[in-house]
Amino acid sequence: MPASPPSLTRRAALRLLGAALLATVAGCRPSKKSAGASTSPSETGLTPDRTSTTTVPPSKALAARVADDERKLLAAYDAAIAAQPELTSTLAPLRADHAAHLVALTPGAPTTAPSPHPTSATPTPSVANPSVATSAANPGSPAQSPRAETLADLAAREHAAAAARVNDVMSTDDGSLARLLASIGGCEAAHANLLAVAK
Amino acid sequence: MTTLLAALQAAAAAENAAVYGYSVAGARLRDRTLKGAARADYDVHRAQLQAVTGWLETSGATAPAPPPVYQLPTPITDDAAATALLTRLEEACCATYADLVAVATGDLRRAAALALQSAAIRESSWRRGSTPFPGLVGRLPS
Repeated sequence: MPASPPSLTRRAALRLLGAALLATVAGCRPSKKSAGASTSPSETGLTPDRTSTTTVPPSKALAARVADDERKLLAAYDAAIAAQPELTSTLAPLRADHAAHLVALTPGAPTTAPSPHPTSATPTPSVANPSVATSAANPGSPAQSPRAETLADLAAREHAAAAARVNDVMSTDDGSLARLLASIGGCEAAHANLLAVAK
Repeated sequence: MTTLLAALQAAAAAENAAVYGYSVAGARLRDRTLKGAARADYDVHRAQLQAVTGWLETSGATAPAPPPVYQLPTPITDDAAATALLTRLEEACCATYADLVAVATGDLRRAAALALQSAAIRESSWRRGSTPFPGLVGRLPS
């Protein structure tokens, strides 16, 4: 299974993150005595026991707000798939990730809720507004194909979502929720990159 | 309950393992593009290991020495095995940064969230696909 030939776009995305990370590296001394007790990669998946799971209202409000963001992303994917059915195989797995996010953020909600439209998305008029998928894409760039525009628009949305998750993580005292939101942000950052390199 | 110190040490261990794993897998990758990507990612992990070491020292702790030997989960016989290992190493990094986010506050929490995103991008790139909860694979309460 060859990994995706990493593109300039991927490197650019990593560079952006790298810049943020290096800000934290600065001022830190490298140490010769660095290291780890864990010996195998598999052992580094910890099994932490976090106790702050009580859902206090502020956490609930934050989770609800992020759930709204996830619904908007789902709608954008639905619109994109409706407008560009040939992108279904590319977009459906990413859409499914957002559906999973929504479920995790809204425990107890009916699991059918996140999927108002099947991921196989036959374009039906009610699905929405294909303009959602295309209108925001790089207005200044020279004529992109509708397909490229759709991918670029979704990539931009994912990028913005990932950035928003970092701020969300900073706005809660609930460690478990922060961890979940950080993971969702990781997924969205990965989506932005996958969409950017998608052909 | 995981403490901040334990989370930082786990992150250092994951970064150490990644540095080692990238050096091995990178050397064995045949595809030149993949090899180049692995080399760049190796550099990122070395820098990140320094960052985590710095965070540990700021917390008054000394980073433990890396183990003298790592055992590879599977032999790296081809590019697919190499990329599978790299995917796994990145997921392990994601997991430790997710845990660090949970127990850290302030700038450290933000840095951990960004480090998770960086690792998740690399993970999905090696995997050639996404996973809904990087760092929480198999660890979400159902």
